[in-house]
Amino acid sequence: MAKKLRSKKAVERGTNIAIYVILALISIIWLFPFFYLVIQSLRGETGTATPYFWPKEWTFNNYIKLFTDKSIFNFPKWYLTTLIISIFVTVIQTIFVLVTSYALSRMRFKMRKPLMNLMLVLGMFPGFMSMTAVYFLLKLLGLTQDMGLVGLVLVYVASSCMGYYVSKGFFDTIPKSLDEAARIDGASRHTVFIKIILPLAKPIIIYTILTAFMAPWGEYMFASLMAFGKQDYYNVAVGLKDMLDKEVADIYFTRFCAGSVIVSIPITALFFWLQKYYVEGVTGGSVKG
Amino acid sequence: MKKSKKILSLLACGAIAASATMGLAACGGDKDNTITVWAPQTQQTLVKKLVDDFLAANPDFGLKVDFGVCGEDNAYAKVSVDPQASADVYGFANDQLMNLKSCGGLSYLSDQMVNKIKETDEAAAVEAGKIGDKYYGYPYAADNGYFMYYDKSVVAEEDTTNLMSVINACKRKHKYFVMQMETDGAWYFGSFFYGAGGKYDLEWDGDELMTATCNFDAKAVDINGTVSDYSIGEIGSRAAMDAVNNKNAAGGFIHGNDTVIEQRLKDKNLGAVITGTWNASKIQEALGNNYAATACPQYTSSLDNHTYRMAPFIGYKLYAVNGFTKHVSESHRLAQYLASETAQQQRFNELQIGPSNLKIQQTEAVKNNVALQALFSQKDFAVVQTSLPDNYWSVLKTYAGDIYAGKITNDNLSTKLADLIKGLNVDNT
Repeated sequence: MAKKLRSKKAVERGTNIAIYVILALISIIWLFPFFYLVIQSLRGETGTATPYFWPKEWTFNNYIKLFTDKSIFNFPKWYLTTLIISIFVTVIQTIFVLVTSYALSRMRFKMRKPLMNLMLVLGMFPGFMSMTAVYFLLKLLGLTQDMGLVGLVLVYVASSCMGYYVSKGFFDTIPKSLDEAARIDGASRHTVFIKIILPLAKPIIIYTILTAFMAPWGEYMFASLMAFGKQDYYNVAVGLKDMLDKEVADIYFTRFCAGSVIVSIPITALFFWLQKYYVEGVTGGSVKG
Repeated sequence: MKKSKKILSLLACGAIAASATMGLAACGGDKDNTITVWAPQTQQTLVKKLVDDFLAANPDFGLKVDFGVCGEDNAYAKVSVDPQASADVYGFANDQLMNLKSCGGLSYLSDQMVNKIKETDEAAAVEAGKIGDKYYGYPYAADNGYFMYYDKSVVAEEDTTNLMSVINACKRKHKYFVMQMETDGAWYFGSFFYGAGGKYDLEWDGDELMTATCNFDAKAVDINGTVSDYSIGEIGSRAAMDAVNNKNAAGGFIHGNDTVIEQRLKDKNLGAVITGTWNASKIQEALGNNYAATACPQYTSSLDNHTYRMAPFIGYKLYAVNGFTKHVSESHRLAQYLASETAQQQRFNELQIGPSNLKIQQTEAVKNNVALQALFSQKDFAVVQTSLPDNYWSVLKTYAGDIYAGKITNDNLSTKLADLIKGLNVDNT
């Protein structure tokens, strides 16, 4: 007997089903923590973890209390602090990254290669290894505690130009002949950057802005060190973690979840708004012209 | 296009200028006439009010007071990072005393202050802040310990004095006896050994640990002072093993942290539990009229039929003055006030924190507090929890966990005990 033959269509359908089942499973696993957070933030019962999944009582109070009940935790303030830090970091970091990328992409100077190598090597060290040293340096400058926010912005943007890779790659894809044409017409480097390159590099600007804006929202280590117990200078990550302190976790766990959901809102909003550029930006840089 | 260029350069200049001026402004700050006070999250409002009262009563104080958040249990973790930037006045749990001293985070009390607190506060609480012949803290809480809560409808009062009667009473009614054996188990489990005469002696050279010796292989001594044929380790371990043998899905002994306790309360199947004052309101609310608390029970050993007691740890909380403070005398005044009778009274009124002040301990309100009374009733035999080396916690935790998991049996008990003692002993000389 010959082996039973199956049509190509049937085989394809079989594999497709298998693939989709696997993908669905993976996405469930991937989305589950976030889903859990949202569910918990709407839970009416107090207490930390419950042994059941679906809350017995649904409520929106956790969100309302998060913003109105400031007796122990001042969430709105932390939120604002983080937003301010994020905006400063976004502006400064975007400028640094774009300028560095432009220089490394377009100009040819003696130290270009060594500089790029140096940045590569420096980038290999995890930032927190120098944390204590950086902290004491900033303390000498008076940029901790009361001035901690300035210090934090400094820390976040200090080495940001080392993240030039993606945007340099993107700039490399913009034909050099455009620059040259402009230069012949008498434009300076600066004019070329502002008037020729930047308008063509919108996707990568958006990408840089997004990554810069996202980072401070989840940063804990430096932020907690800088604030050093002063609640007025907490960012959301440090503040939210305090809600899980064993003394108060019982009451605040659900509010903590609500806070975590709220934190993701500005990032998500920005992301959706700028999404189409983002994909272009990430992939655009990888094609060398 | 011209416009965008302008905006860009403006932004860049603005950012640089802003950070520069803000940095400069920092230098001229009024740090020099400010005292920082750290208090735990839940006491923030109270401490702010206390400080306001203090400043109003002392117009000559002349310094501003600033606040920060730091739990008493986290004091060392935080202070050790940067003692100079840490608060001038902060609360700590007495088991961190040695560590805090060695990182420079403590300044000692004047003799006058010491005499003052010796008069007003429990002797053990004052001693809890002592290194050598100097005192380093103003005690303000004496409730960092554990005892037994029980449901009156499940465990009869006369049964509460004996561990096995408590467990059996729980079993009969299909309720649980909850005690922590894993995670933080070491803190609770040691009570089996200490009650049988166990000692863990530490020898310090200044603030450096030289030797730690436990006597768990010595002969046990029961409540009447009779010396047993068995060692402290054997008696204590066997009692725990007997208790754990009643691990049963339908009721009996279970390991549990605060989450488990809460769950058992919700499911209405908690018979008795060994835990501390932080769970008092929760348990009282759930048990209602059947709410009761008493000292940790005694246990009758199945080895020699003698009766021993569980001797729990007791810890104190004290206010310390940072060794790096620029305002030593003012900080001491403030710390003393934050631990004073008035402050302790308010702390008890608002947060039910057990006072170390003898006068307040005798007030009606404290005497009517079931949980605190149970805790204070253990004063005679509770063991003051001093600064213990890290290996104490890790070794004992593993041991308690092994007992709960049934990994320690009659056959391997002696080798496991020998390992435990070896792990607990330290010799840095």
